[in-house]
Amino acid sequence: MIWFKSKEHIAAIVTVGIALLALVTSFYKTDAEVYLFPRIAAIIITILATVLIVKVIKNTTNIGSNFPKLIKWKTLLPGLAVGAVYLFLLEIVGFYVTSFFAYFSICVIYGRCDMTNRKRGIFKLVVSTIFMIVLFLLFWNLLHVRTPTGWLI
Amino acid sequence: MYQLRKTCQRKRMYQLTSKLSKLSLMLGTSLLTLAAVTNANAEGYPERPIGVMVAYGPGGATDFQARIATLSSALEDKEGKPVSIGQPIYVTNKPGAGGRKGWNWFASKAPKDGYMLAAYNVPHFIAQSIMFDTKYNVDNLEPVGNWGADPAVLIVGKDSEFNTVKDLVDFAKANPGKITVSGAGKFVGHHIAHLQLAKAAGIDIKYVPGKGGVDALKLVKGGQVKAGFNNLSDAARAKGDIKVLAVADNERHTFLPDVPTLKESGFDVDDSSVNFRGLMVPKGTPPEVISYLAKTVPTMFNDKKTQGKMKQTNSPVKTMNRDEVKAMWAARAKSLPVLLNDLKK
Amino acid sequence: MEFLNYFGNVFTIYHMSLLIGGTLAGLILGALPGLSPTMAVALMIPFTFHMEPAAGLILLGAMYTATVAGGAISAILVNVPGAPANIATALDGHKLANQGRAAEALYYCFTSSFIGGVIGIIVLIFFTPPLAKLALKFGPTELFWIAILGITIIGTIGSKSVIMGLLSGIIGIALSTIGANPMLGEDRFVYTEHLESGIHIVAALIGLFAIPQVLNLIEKSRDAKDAAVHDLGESNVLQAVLFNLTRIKALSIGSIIGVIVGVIPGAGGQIAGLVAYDQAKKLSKDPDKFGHGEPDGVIAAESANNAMVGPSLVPLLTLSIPGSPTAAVLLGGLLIHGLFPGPTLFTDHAEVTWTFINSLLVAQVFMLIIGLFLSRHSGWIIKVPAHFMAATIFILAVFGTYSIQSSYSDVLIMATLGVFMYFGSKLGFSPAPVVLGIILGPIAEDNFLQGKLIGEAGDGVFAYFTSGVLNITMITLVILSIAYSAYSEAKMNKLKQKVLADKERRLKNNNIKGNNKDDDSDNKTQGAI
Repeated sequence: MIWFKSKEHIAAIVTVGIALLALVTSFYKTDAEVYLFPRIAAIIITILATVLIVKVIKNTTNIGSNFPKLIKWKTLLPGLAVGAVYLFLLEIVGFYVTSFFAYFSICVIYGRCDMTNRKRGIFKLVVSTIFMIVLFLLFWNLLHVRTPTGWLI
Repeated sequence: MYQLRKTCQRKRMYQLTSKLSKLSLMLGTSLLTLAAVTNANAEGYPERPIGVMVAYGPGGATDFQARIATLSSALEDKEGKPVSIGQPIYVTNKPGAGGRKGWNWFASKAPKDGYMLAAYNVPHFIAQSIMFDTKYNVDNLEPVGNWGADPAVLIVGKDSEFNTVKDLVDFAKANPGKITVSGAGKFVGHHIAHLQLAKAAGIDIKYVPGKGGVDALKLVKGGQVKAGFNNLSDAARAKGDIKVLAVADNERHTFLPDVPTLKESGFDVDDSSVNFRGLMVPKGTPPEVISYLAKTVPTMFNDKKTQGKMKQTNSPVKTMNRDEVKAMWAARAKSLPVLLNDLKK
Repeated sequence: MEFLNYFGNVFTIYHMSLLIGGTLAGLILGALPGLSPTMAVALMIPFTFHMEPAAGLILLGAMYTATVAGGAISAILVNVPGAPANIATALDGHKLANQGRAAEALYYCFTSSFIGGVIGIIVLIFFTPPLAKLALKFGPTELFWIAILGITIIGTIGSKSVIMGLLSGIIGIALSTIGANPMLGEDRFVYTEHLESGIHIVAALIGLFAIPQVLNLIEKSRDAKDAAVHDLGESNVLQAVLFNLTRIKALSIGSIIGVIVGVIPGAGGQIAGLVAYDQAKKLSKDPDKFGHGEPDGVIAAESANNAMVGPSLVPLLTLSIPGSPTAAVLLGGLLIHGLFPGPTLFTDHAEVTWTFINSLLVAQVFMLIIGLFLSRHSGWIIKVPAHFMAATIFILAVFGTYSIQSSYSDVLIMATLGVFMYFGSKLGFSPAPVVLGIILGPIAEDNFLQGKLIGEAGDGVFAYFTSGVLNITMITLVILSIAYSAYSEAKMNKLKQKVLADKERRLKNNNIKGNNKDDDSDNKTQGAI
């Protein structure tokens, strides 16, 4: 993996990917008049990606073994999973109920103390409830935003 | 607010001492009761507030007219009996893709229980359903009443060389493709009027869609386009900055009694482009709900206070009942494909 | 001096309580991530329905000014701008907060908002007629060049490297083309129905700023050592206000640019802060300090934001052409009360109109007082534990996004963009240029296509886009902006070479010893590519 010496390298690779995506989606089977601006944007992205690659190659300096770990997947994944489930159920179950559970889950998973600590758990539950009540009063009663109710609310 | 905080505090004190299981049970039941209150089944329609979906952003003409038109929905007479619908109405905006986003949602996803109505704009939504692959068309929507009719008018800038429609048409005949005409967007009434005029006069004029009626009017005022079709109500208001050449309707309008119709000026243009606004429900709504709405909605539009507000805001009104609107929709669904055929290719 | 006659109307108990209530509510709503001024005003309009015209407008006006300033609170404290206008404030404001100078940053923010706001309203009172004439001159071609001018500053806003910044900006422009083509109505890139109406700018703003912040918070939440909680910082209000008043250069750059951008009709109002920030940076003696917690950055950005409010009402009140998205919503508020913009507004409805404008002036004073007070007492926001903070921002982002246009699709788009931005930020991309791209893309495209249609009917497209005093002025500005960027890029390169040469010399002298240190300096120069 000679390429991944620094985050600049990864950035360059990602950019090339974006450029390819932009080129394919805006040129393949599309109408020139409708896609005029997307095409211009795609070409500029490609040019910039090339410049970036050239710069990265020119400036290759060996940072070597102490390449920093960019993303802590282990910490992040539970949160992303909660977010995904939350967004999926949002419209089906109802905004306020799902939001309550999402809020509570994030607080429990990422709280600094042990997850089984009952006292803190109750505190988090209370905070989540109060937050949801305030949110309901603000959006539903005060601002008259009607969120989809789904099964519950 | 103070009371609320106090009860919250008391609640917290109590909850801290109670067990977790007990608490979640309590919470669950309270949420369920809350849900039950808002989601109760319809029996003896209507028993809770009704929504109206507007497919344009807040502040636009359709939005604020919809808000005024539904103003008196919960009005009661002296004996406490409902005068019209008998429940408050709230407005929800779902703008995007020139109205397509909101109407697509309405035809496919809106509840069919009479608790969600939508505002329609004819000929806009019918023309869109002909030109695009939309989820809505005249067949899967049911009108319940019409509150307004805003004809398109042909306007030019204050300093324009044109004083009559004839001046403009003559110039266009001598210089094909040199006349630019602005309008609120693609396939709205202004676009239809433009197509009709081009066809009736046999001229080649260019349509420049703006981002909404205000933007289109600005292009005319600033002299960036030679002419424009715009809402009669907006044009009547901007009399100082523009000249109104003609009305694209069958009769002259009370707002501008001196302005001739296109027909009077010698061009065979009917009222196909008049922008009708009203309320509809999706097909599949129970017939008794539709007939209840068809009876009460026009009464609501005719309320004195509503009409006064409409007049104050310079909104041209035209109350029509369900049968009249249905006939109007059917007529448009027949005439528009012919006009739009040339565009479709 | 006609406006002085109507000052008495503002100082009734009813109107004053509306002003104070509107300002307080506006500041709090504006500070919530996801509630932009445009939305706050739109949500308030139904409430003004049953009010007297003057009272309703006073409430809306107070909300407008206060939400614009309130958006800076969340921008500074949690790095989530409340509205597109506050992006520039976040760039340096949040850095100041990280240095434990949050209170100071907030004081600067409200003081410069006040000064900018007052200047803007004064322009509105005295220069309405000539400015209205100017506003009409801006047609499609002029607006197109303005968008291009905006694109030339993308690269220097908020990112370490010009190329990465430009790249993010163009990606933003590409994202903005999703949805219907503005002239032809044909769909583009609509692979799912959720993309049908394109990417809403506020949804994108919330996603790009709030979601990475949420993920950063939960990432840090577990390692207690890293979660260093900063204080609001000790700062004397009076001292901060007085210091702010001495920054005349930043204040005047901000206010002048805010006024100019506000008058130009179109969506331009949103970029006032960013343009002012860019100019303040370019004209500063120490441009390198910007982006690392420079008070001038906050001062220029915030004075521009609020200086934009008054002038954005000039074309609205005289020609019914709004100067900013919020002004566009305000137009609805005017029409509902039967107040039709135009010359008659200042004759037939003079009392209501002048009361409204005067109340805006008074609202600035309340905004300053209430804002400074809130700033002093907002320290608890920073001390909220990371997990509560993350959950709160996340849920607020979802609700805020939904309420823009009652669209579930917007929520999905917001979250998706946010997750991508999080990974992007790890690679050195920054959100500000992407948002700027999404704002400028449609301005450039709509006006180019409109201009093209008009040009084709006239003397040809190229001639139409390059003729006229305003067009030529704009083009000159574009060229100057590019030239300046190239010049400073060249200067940077020279600096980089010097650093490299230094490094080589040191390497020779120290041989193997200084290896680790070199890596550090290397990282810095790489960042400056």
